[in-house]
Formats: sequence, C-alpha cells, structure tokens
Amino acid sequence: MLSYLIRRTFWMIVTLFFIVLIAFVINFVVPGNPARTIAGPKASPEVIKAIEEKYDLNKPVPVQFEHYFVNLLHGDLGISYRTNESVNSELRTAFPKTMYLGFSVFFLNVLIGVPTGIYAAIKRSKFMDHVILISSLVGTSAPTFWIGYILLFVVGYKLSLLPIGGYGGISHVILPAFTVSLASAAGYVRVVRTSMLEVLGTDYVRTAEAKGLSQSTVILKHAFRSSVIPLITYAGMDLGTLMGGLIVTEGIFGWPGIGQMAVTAINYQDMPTIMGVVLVAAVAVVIANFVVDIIYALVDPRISY
Amino acid sequence: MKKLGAKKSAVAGVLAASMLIVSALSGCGQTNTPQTQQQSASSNATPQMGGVLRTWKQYDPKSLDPTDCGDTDSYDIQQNIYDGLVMWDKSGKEIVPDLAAAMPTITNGGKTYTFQLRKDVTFQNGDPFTAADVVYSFNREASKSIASPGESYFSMIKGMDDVFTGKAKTVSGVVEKGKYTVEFDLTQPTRTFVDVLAMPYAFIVDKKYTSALPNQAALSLHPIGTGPFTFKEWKKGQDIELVRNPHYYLKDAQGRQLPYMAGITWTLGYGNSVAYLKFKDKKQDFSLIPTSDYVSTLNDPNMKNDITSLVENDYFYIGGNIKKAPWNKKPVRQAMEYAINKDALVKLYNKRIVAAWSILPPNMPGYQENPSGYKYDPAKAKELLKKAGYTNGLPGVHPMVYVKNSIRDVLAANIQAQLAAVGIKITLDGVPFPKYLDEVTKGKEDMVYGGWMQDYPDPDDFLNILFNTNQIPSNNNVGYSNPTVDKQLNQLATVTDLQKAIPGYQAVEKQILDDAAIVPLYHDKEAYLIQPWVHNSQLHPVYPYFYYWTMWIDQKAEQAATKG
Amino acid sequence: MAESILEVKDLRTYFYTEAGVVKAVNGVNFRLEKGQSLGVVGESGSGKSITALSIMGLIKPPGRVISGEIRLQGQDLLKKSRKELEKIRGNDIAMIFQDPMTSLNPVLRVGEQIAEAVVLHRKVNRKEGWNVALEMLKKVGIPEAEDRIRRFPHEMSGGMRQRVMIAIALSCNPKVLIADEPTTALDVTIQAQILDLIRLLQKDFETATIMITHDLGVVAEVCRNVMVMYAGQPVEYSDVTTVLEQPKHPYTWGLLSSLPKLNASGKQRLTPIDGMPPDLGNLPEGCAFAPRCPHKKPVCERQEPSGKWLSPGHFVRCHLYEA
Repeated sequence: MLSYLIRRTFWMIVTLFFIVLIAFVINFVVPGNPARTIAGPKASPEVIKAIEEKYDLNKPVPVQFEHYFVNLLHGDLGISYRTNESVNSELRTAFPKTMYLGFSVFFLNVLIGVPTGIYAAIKRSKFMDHVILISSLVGTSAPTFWIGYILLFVVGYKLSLLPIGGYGGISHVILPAFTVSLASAAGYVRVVRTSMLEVLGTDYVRTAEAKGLSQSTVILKHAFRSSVIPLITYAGMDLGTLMGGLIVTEGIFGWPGIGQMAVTAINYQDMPTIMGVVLVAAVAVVIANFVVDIIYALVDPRISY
Repeated sequence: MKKLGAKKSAVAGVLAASMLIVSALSGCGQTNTPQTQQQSASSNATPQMGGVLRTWKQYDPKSLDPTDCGDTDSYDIQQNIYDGLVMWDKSGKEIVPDLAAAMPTITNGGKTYTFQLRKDVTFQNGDPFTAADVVYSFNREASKSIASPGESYFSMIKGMDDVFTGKAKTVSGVVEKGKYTVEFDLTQPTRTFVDVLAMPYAFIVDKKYTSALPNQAALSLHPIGTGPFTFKEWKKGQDIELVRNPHYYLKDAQGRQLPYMAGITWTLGYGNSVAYLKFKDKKQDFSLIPTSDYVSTLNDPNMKNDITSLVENDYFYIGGNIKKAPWNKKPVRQAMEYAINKDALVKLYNKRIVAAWSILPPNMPGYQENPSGYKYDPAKAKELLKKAGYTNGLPGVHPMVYVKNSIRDVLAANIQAQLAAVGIKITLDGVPFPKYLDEVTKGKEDMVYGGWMQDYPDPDDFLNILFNTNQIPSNNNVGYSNPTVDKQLNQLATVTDLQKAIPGYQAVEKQILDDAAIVPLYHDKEAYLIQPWVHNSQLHPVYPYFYYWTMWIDQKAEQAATKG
Repeated sequence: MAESILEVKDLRTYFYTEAGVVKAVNGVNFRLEKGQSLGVVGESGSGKSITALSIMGLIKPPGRVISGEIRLQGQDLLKKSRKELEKIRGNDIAMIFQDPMTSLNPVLRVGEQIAEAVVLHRKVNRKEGWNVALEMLKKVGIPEAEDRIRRFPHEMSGGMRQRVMIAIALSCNPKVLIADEPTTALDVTIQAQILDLIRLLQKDFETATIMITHDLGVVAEVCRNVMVMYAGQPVEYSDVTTVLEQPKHPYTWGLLSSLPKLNASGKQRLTPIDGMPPDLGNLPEGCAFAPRCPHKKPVCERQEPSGKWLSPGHFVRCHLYEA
C-alpha cells in the first residue's frame, strides 16, 4: 500500500508537470501579444515594452517557463495581467465558490441519478425504463444555457420562488445546480442502470433472492453495493470536472467561480490566471482519480494495492 | 481612442482597449445637438436625497486603480470614486473645472498650463487635497514599474516619457508652484491636452495614502479618491458597493450637497438575459436589452418608456489594405463605397445602429453627413471595377478580419453577399480580439471590418489617429497615406481653439473619403433600460453611462412599484 | 403413504422470447415426502433448473409459470403474494446453486451472508444471527470457522464456498432443499466431500431434498427416487434401484450406457447420446425424443406419448409401453 502511494504520488506530480508545460506552451501558440492586448491599440511602443518588462514577456519562452515553474514550486502562481492581483488570492476567493456549486451539483447528481438508474434497471424494458432513458437523453442534449435560462425565467421570474441569479446561500445554489444536474445526472442514470443490470443477472443476486430477502434488500445491499465500482469511477471523473469550473453555468447565473475567472482571463490573454485555473482544475481531476482508487479498495474487498 | 473590440452594447464582450473621454469645448458653436433621449417626464421634479442605485455589469471591472483604467467598466466605477483636475459637464459638450478651481491659464504659446486648485477638498479618508497629490498622481502614471497602458496619452507633458523609459526620476513638466497651484509644461502646443486631463488615467490619488500602500496593486482593491462616492466593498464576481461621500465638494444649483443618491451597487457576473429578467422583476434599476428581446421591448407599452438611448461617438468601417493589390487602386476602393447598402445593415440589426456616410459621428464636433456624396449604387460599383480593369469582378478571394461576435457575424455575412453582388469575393475571418489586434496593428490583413470609439470628442481623435501616415500600421490599419492630409492634420492638432480647426478637419475628412480610404458603415445606437423612479438618467455622451452624481431616486415610487 | 411435503402438478413454465415461446418446463408432476430425496436427471436444457427456479418463485421475465400447482404442505405457492413468498424462500425452501465461485456476493463477508437469512427468518438480532452463522460454518465442516466467518468469498476455495452455500441454505432449517448441480463445478475429491456433507445434513435436518444433476453416479449415491427429464417433461420416474437396474425409457438407456461404471463416483458427463436436445421453442410433433431415438416407431413422430404407470411408483412416457 505504501509503495503504491509513493508510486502514485510520483505519477501525479509527473502528470501535473506536463499539464503545466503543455498549458504554458499553448499560451504561446495562441496568436496575439498579451502586452498589446493589455496596452490597447493606441499605446506607444514604449508602453508595450514597459508592459512586456513588467510581466517578463520580453524574455525567451524557456526562460519564462523556468521563472514560472520556480515560482510555482514556491506555491506562487504569479500576478494576473488583467487585475494586477496575485492569482493565488483570486483563486482562493473563486475556488471555494466553484467547490460549493460543484458539490451541490454532485450531490444532486447522486441524489437524482442513482435512484433513477436503479429504478430503470429494475423496470428494464418496461415503460418507465423507456421514459427514463429518453428523458435522460433529452437532458443530456439540451444546451445548458437554455435549461438555465428557462429555469431562471420560470422559477425565478414567473413564479418568484428563487433568486434570479447571483451568488449566495442554498436558495441561490439550487437553480444553477439543477441546471447542470439535469444534464449530468443522466450520465449517472446510464452508468448505474448498466452496472445494475449486469449485477442483477448474477448468481449471487439470485442467491440473495433465494434467501427470501426483500426486493429492496436484494437491490440495495447485494446488487447496488457490488455494482458501485463503475459509479465511483464515473462520479470521480464527474467531481473532478465539476471542480474545474462550470464555465457556462457560472456565466449564466453570475456565479463567481473559477469558470468565470477562466472566461475573463481568456478574453484578456491573462496567461497567469489561465494557467492558475488550468492547474487547479488539473489538480482537482488528479486528486479525484486518486481518491477514487482509494475508495475502490474500501468498497471492494477484492481490490488491494 | 480605442479600437472597438467589443463594447458596452448587448453584444459586448470585454473591452480590452484603452478608454476615453472627451471634449467638446463649449462655445464651439457647433450645430449638432447630441442625440440623447430621456424617458423621464418628471425629471424636472425636485431631486430627493437617498436611495441606492442597483445597477449591473456582466464582468468585473479590470481595476479600480486610475493608472489601469483602460476599459469601460473600470471607468464607469472609477469616475464616481475619483476626480480629475477637469471633468465633462452634464451635457458632455463642455469641459469644466473639477479639482481645479477654474480652467487653466494658458501661456508660453500654448505650452504652459497653470491650474489653481480648490482648497475645500478632502479625500474620502479625510486627507486634505493639495498640489502635491497632483504631482504625485502624474508621476505615478509615468512610473515604469506600474507600466500604465495610458501613459502615452500624456507624452506631450515634458519628462513624462523620460520617467517612463527610466531616463528620469521625476516628471519635469508637472510642477508644484504652491500648495494649491500646479503648472504643466508641454513639449508642444496641444489642443487636446485638456481632453486628456479629463481622462481617467489623470484621476488624482491621495499621495499620503497611496504611497504608504504595501504594494501599488493594492490601490485597486482599496481605492480612495475625492469623488462623489466612497468605495465600500468589492466582492469579486458578485458586487461592488459605493456609498455617498458626504464631504464631496460639489453642490447643485439650489446649494444642496451632491450626490443625491445614498449609494451605488453594481451586481456582477451574469449576462444580459438574466439582467433583463431582473430588471423586469424590478430587482435591478438598469439593464441592457438582449438582442432577442429588443423589438418586443420597444413595442411593450410597459417598457418602452424605460428605454434611454444615445448615438455613440464611434464608427465602424470596412477597408482593404491599401499597401496591397488590388486595394492600391483608387477605383477599386471607390467601387466599394457604392457597393454597400447600409440601410440593409441597419434593418438587420433592428435599428440599433445608424448608417454612416462619414467618419465623424453625429455627436462629434465637425460632423458632416455625407461629405463625398456617395450612395448605394451597385451598377456604379461594377462600372468602377471595369474602369480599374476588372471586367469580370475583382480577382481572388479576400479574407476580411474582424472581432467575432454573433451580431458582427450576421452583418459581415450580409456585407459579404453585397460585395459578391458587384463582383468582389471575400471570406469572413472572425477572430478573438487579441488575434485581431495582432493582425491589424501589424498591417498583416487583406481586408478589415473594424471600429473606433472616441477617447474624447475631438476630430483629431478620429482623423489624425486613424489616417495619419505616422500611425501606419498600428492605428492606420488600412495603410492610407496622403502627404497633404498628413500636413493638415499635424497643423490642426496644434490649433488651440477647436472651433477654428473644424473647417480644416472637415476638408481633411472629405479628402480621406474622396480617396476612399475606408467605407464607413454605421455608428452604434446604444439603448438601455432604466427604471422610471430613477431620475436624471440621460446617457452621457462621454462618460460610459451616466452622470451619477446628479441622478436621484424617487423612493416612494420605487417602493410602490417593487411592492406591487 | 408418508406425509407429502412438496407436490408439483402439471407445472408449465414458458419463456416468451422474441424468437417465440420456449416451453422450458412443459408439464412436470412429482411428489416429495418428508426427508425424502429426489434426483432430477437430464441433459442441459431439459428443464431441471427451470423447474427448481419455478418452485423457488425465481422465474424472471420473459419467463412465466403459466399453469400448474406447487403445493408446499398443501399450500399452493403459485397463489402466494410476493411478500408471502419471501417468507417461505430461504426459510421453508432453500436452494444451493451450481457455481460456488459466483453464487456468493463478493463484497460481503461470508458470515453476513449466512446471518442475514437467519436474522430475516428467525427474527433474531444481528449478533445472534452471526452466532448461528458460526455454528452453521462448523456444521458444514469449515475449519477455523471463527476466522473464516469474517472472510470474503474470494479468500476461500471453491469447496469452502460451496460449504458456505450449504450453510446458508440450511441455516433456517428448511423443509425442502433444492441442490442444483452442487458439485459440477468442483474437483472430484471435493465433490465427494460435498455429497457426503449433503447426505449427512439431510439426515440430520430431516430435509426433503431435490438433487438436480446430470450425473447418475451422484443420484445413485444420494437419492431415493429419480426423475429423468427430457425437453421439459419427466420421461421416467421411479426409485433409484429400478431406474438404474431396470430402466424403461430409451433416453434413460442412453444415459446409463454413457456411464463408464456404475457406483463409481462417476464424473462423466451425459453426452454420448446421438443427436442434439430439441429446440424448446420449436418442439417436433409427437415424442420430443423421437428424432434421437433408436427405437422409434412411426407413431412416435405423430403423437405425443401420454405416459403410463408400469407399476406403482414407476412412470414412463414412451410409445413402447402404450397401446
């Protein structure tokens, strides 16, 4: 187990290093000079030069990368070109808000997706199964901005049940979380349904039934527990993605998370901020994967490291 | 001046370019009246004190530090926190004293400006305002380590660029001549110097407070100025709160202390569709009108009176790169002048723009409706192409670069079809703003569909910046070069009285259009929603939106409306 | 006649597939007395397991029991509600499945898998349930039961797992135990141990047993009566001596001739009869075995034999004995 952890941590660091490297390089492949973007068209060459010096942009790319990387090792993500503030502090403000929304979505996904998936599996090929599969397809295909706006219009404006956008407590998080969840819970439904169907056909579920256990015990204790591995895998990826920021949803609802940060940063070629967001998102995914692997071993005694 | 990457319209993206202000000096005798409309019939009622304006922005402003005030959103907020030496009056036509007690005395052949300062002004933290703060603020703007994008607006001040490039420690041209007297020395007479002083880059900060900050970037998060509203809080991505500055020096005609409102709150982060819903729900006092709701809003009896609109001092154009064939042939360029049905564009965009046959917009001093007498005439366009030797239309396919957004995509496609009809084939190259800047400021493009927005209402800001040979390629993107025009522009810039310069600018504008340097397309017509209980809410021709310190809120009307 | 525990009458279980109706069980009758053991023999697809699952009430769509009676101590299980059946399953009737490797839940400790049935049916608390589980593990001969009870199935061998399965099945002292090829998946040596265990426990618990197998050697060792099934129907039924020594049905002959040596703990599969079992979705007219029967007469391909009691206790379904 210990050697596994060490090996795993090593590869996590290698992964992150390459993500940093690739993201950094991509920033330089994108056309446009950040100093020109900061300065605006009227600025004199001296202004552009001063800005390049201020942000190190006049140095060769490998040197810039070295500076960035050395600072990164000290936990310093640099200064935003757009706001002149430390990217660390901006992320410290924005990331908890993304986590708040992300976990709310995650909670809803599990709350909606898992029981629905189980129900669809039990009702396999029956009317309700088809209804669920079709509505999950619709949920996945409908554009997020459209769902978000409809929810805002109906629930927020017409019915005045919940606030129209903005950041805040539970009442503020419900609509954006539902907006994302209506689409992403569908994935849980499919994953749970498929793995449940597989498990429901196994001999040990028949054994459980032969013991006279009630349907709910058979499904929850025997079938669901052993079908949970694909769900954990999926949920881990989902959670990682959610932590990377919900760009569209944050934009619609005015949710001040890292997705919004990313949008303004990209519009502005604000490389340190873009890098910061990419890095946080990457770390979230890597950690989620790691946690998933640990959970595997906890739920399935056959897995050990 | 800024290149229009995007602007504060319903289709706006982020304005990354620099921003500005301006000057239509009063008494210039210009004949056009600003086309401002205001919905509120009760504006004549006595202003009431109190009430908070609940307004909105899609994006956080870039910065609340004047040296970094390059975008509309930052300017909109900073104008309430800070003051400059001079400011625009409510009509947007005249520059009036702000922190200065009077307009400057101009001596030394237009090269020395001397300001007497107000003695009754304190910063919002209680620090007294003196000449030292002015000197400090300009040195700060010139500082190399701050690297303000606006520094070059002040290049006419002696020593400004030397400090910026590290050749000098202090700006020699800004001199404290007494506790309340400041002198500016210019390298050459520059009429637009006063306009530049009204720009946000020239806002005055508190020397004592600012110089003691742990780092200069901290000013953006904790701004202190002398303006009508005091900064209270900025929750990133959520809201910015300003509250009334009770010690603001300005009073209204009745001697009442300005501003009237108790505060301004901008909520941040969501787009115009949501803002529009919140406006309709009366949770917000201001909103853009989403494109999809524009026509229905105009026709909605409950909302049409909430609309306030203004033709902007901007212009959009298309042009071929004159440094490249076939655009180097004048008949080809002239053919384009006749090829575009601008009314079709206006109709496509629900009349949110007005057709342009000249470069200077209607609210700009020196405006002429159609100096070169062009009109939509596709037959004439074909004839001109023949004259240039292209009987079967222009050879090749020409990519047209522009800043992509949903509206410009539609307009560009229409332009493409119109040009194709006369035999000019183009492809559309809609790109993000940074890429656009990278192409056009290096003169790499074949064709451009671009825009320009005033820094201040002076023809120099459009004609000199966009068409002087010395601006190729950074701002004169189409590479237009006419020695006669250059000579006139250089001379006109030094004429201290704008009124005297206007005939000259009008001649220059006609020459540029006769040469068919570009094809003017349209000017934006901004339209916003403002709740009926908010008074004095005319859009300002120079400031990004409003003249906040004379706005007031009928709180009874507001309560009645929001309760119902 | 001894007390009848289980009586199956004219049981028919069909599967309604897209390809057509598969008549997996097509008229099965038998009686089982207290403590008695019945072997059900036949090739794969002869309907043995479906018969067992029908009795357990575990037929899943698209399958359905379409007619018949399954009387447990006089009560027809087919008329019971799902709740009532849950009380009977695992309590009055228990079942052991063929493959111990897949029949235990991989994520639950074996103790839990035994105890949960005890807790459910005997209304005891969890701790007592585990005590019973431990007792059962000892009874089925699992060494170091105190340790094994906390193990997961993948930590045990196949034989051990089948012992666990038996422990589960017998934990509530059922009146009827159905063992569906309990040894097929095991090594020969283990097979014998498991059979011995079943026989022993059957005596101990006085459980009536249905032993489903395709191995006549197993039947000879464990059972008193035998039912030979073919194509969803019993073709011959009698006591084990009669069937082994005086078989009447040509199919039974075929089965027996495939045994290398009687009474050995034969593991040979019953395959060497020529031809293939019939397609249950498309049964031939007449006798289902006719296409493979070396003794077939013209009537066999026209008319289904109705079956005949040759002597009390010896039933055969064949045209050779009709007329």
